[in-house]
Amino acid sequence: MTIFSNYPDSDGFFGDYGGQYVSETLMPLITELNELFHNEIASPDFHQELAYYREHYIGRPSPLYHARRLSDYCGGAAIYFKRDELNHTGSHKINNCIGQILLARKMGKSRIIAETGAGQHGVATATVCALFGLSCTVYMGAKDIERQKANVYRMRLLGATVIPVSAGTATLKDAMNEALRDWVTHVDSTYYLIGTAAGPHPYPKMVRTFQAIIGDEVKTQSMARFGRLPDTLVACIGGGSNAIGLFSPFLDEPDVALIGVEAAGKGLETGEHAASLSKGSFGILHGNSTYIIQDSQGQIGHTHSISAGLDYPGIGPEHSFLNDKKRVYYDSCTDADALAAFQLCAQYEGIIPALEPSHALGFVLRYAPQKPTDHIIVMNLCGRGDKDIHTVAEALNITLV
Amino acid sequence: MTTIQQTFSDLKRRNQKAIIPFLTADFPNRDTFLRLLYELPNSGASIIEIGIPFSEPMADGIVIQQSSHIAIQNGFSFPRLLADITAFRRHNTVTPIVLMTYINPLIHYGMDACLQDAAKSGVQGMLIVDLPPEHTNRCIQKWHGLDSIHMITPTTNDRRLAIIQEGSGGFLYYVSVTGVTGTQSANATSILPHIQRIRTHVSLPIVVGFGITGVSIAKQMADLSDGVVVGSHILKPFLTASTADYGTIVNEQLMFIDEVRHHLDTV
Repeated sequence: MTIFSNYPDSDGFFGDYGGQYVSETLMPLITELNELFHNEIASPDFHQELAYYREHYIGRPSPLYHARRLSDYCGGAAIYFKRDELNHTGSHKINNCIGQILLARKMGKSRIIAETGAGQHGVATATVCALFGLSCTVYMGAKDIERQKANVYRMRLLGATVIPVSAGTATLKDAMNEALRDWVTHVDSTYYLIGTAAGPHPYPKMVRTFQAIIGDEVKTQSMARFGRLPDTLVACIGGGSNAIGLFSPFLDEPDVALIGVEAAGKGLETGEHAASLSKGSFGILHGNSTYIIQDSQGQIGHTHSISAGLDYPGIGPEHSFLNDKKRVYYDSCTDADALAAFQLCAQYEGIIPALEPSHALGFVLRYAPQKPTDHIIVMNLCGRGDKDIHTVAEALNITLV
Repeated sequence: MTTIQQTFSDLKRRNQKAIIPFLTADFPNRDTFLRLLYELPNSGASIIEIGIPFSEPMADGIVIQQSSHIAIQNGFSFPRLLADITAFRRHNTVTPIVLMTYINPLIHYGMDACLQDAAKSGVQGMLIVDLPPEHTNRCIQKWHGLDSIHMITPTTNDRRLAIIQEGSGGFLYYVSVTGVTGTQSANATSILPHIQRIRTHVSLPIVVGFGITGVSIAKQMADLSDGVVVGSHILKPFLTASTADYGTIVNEQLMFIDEVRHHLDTV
């Protein structure tokens, strides 16, 4: 039997996936980061510092909330939301940023760079840079800047420089390319704060470690509330940071079903989607091997999702591994179903979710009715939807005043 | 002795330095690329480096990004490139060819088939930008006679030099700037101590690339090393030119390499 908590191995591999596929300029730095990260997570002082910021700055623990009206609407399982949208900055991204910024400071770096899709990671990075007085540069696809204007302004208010990337498809992958180019150019002064559970080792493990607080809290809260673990956990997946954060403490609990939801865009058969596991194949991108969407020549393919945060042709390497091992079941949700879930959540629960977790909810709305009432589903509501109101209004043909 | 080793040993005997032009395959179009490939050796190029275009060129500056993009739009295909190299080999048997690429297109083709087919078509070396020596054994079982070329950068420490040296053949590619291709000029004063340090660890020839933007910088770098790689500087004029001007630009770039050869050979 696979013991999932034993992964990754010391070279950063989850089975066939992961590794450190980067150019030589970056190798010495990620080797140094890897050593520092492993030393720090073994240190009680580091955990104490992390715990301090989690409690007093992020506002953790986040509630585990029973979405009663949505549960009644579905007429099946009890649906619970892990309310990570209530975190400071409005998403789960801050969990990882606080952890990595503490490491960057220990490395003596004065300048932080980041990539962002929906802007949530960019905002969280700009926030922790303001908190510690560090210079911050965020790369963001020009297309994403257009659809996430509010977050661009938030980053600028926080003192960050936002650089539009118009190369390629002008989305998250292109922002990541440009951040990597910046990093090799300024490797001495600069720390690259990757937001998703991808990139070269140790990033996928680091992001998982800092996001695992989500699943740790769900475990504690479930035992206190239900006297047992939940039956099913559901999370949306772009690169997969919120999902791995929720899942990781449960990977070696075989009775808990884990479900990841990819963006099916306009439909898996249309070619307009971002479902790397359903429609991708083995490849290497942005420092790790994983499933990626690519063409017959190994060129990275075009992706589409209404959600900028899920619009990425790859997926974190650990998800590829969990998919092959069948430990996590991966499904998908279309733009249209996510939009319907977005509106339903607002109207039934008084919570406006981000478009990313609306994909998870779109799946839950299909899944919950098939389950009995004593079945407990915990869905990670990993971000709030204020940033998305323009995109949603446009998709619904509504003119905002 | 491999063909690349033979090339460096011949150069040394003649007291010459290597000039290694970098071409993005099928850029600005296939005909122009092939004309450069066929004629550069006559202008003094010692080895030709051919870039396999990848849609996500993370280590490259704007010139090679755009050239890669155009090559892909031109319908670049790896099997067709190998067929073109096979044809070139009927015409030129002495100038080594090194393929430079990111790993994903090779993985997609099948790594072993890729190396075997490349070797069969007349390629001598392979430089995979995002495959560090630590992962080479995981991805490659057999080199099929190809030299594995690695990069060394200003950030490479002594521990890594040892790892890189062990997995390397042909020559070492010293990246003269921390950064992407074609964006800034190399600086001889800052590079000298690095090259001297590397020399104490490795016996392979060292060539300097990234930031070789003109004749005088090429001369300075060649004086410190065993040769220079010139990439973005050759490709850049094609980006803003119309198709009708490609022929003229090819002639200018051949003259440029000729001039570099002349300067490098003048003591």
